[in-house]
Amino acid sequence: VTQCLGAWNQPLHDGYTKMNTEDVNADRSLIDFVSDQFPNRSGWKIDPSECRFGRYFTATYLSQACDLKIEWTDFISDHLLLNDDRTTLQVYHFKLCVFNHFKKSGSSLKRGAILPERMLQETIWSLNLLFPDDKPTNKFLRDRNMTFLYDAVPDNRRPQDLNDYIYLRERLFHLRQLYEAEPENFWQLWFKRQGYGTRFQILATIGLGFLLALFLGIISSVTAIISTRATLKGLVVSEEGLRVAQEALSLQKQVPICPCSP
Amino acid sequence: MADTEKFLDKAGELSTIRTFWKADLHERNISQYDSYIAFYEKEWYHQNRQHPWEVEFSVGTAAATSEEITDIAMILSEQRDVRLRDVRPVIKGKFPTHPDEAVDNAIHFVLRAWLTLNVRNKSQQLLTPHNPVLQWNDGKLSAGVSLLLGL
Repeated sequence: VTQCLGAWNQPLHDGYTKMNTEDVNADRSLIDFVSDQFPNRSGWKIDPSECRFGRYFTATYLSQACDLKIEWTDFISDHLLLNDDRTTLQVYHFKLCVFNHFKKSGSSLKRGAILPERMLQETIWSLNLLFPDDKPTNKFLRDRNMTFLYDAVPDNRRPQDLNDYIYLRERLFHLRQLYEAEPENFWQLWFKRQGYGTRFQILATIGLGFLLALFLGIISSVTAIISTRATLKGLVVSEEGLRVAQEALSLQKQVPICPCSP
Repeated sequence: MADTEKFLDKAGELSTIRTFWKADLHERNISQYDSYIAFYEKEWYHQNRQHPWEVEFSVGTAAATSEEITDIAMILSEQRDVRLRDVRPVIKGKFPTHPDEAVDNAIHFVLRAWLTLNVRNKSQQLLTPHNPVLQWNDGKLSAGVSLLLGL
């Protein structure tokens, strides 16, 4: 579904592993060297049906439902990198530094920022996307002794479309794949929204089974009661019959047989 | 970090943040950058630590103070469009007694601290594929090693 267009001609995951060695040398300027670290992915065309992130696309959800471990990285070039087996996500955490870096008043170094401004913006947007200022995320960050100083960084935009990201498109695409993937184990089945149908089926089956067992149990109990009552009744009747027979027998013994009777 | 001395004092922290990130930062807000300062200190420590087995190979870094580090950042910032090969002599001029490698280490440290890019030289490159290596020499050995490692 994804069409790779433009100059990009390497397999998806090689893009970042090969981005920075042999073609970096001292014949480049600092600007060129830095821009080499952030390949532009605007040539990537992604099917519109695969572009939206969805409301649960947060680090808290990914961590809980996809078994994804979040690791804080100090280096912006590692931001949103997944490890090879897709179990760990690196997240750049100097959000305030990034925010100030591209502001004109930000750095006292001359001529402003060197890192691509768009890349810096996307870094902030992606952090806003993954770490919204809500209760579960605040708890998630508190548990990890991390803060993103929401008040200090007024840019709270969080574009929900992959096409709004030029530099981080590939990394977010991989992350979205993980988010959309079918559950692989019971834990994911329980937490992932994709597991809703299966989860419903399992719970419905358990519920129906319980109701059926209850129903059969009730029928069984009722028939057992009826049967017991019938048995008791039979017992009472037979006791009565025995008593009548005994009375008749004793009556027969008391009345003498008259020899002169015809 | 617990067993190391802090490289930056309070004034050094403020000056570093003002230089790299926010020129008009007020002193009372410096705590917002605590995690960055911890990173800076950690990088400084790793740049300059010398294990017993490294002493004879390591030359450390030419820049010894936060002022020298910000000076290098200023030069790199002003000459951002100039070939790095031509910028290095300018920086080296500030540290005439230091070997090239120590000057390179200082430049790499500045790029890590200022741009948070994981730039290192070959000998300090981590065994992960995401570390840019700034090649100052055209030596075939480093290219060969990279090829061998599949980087």
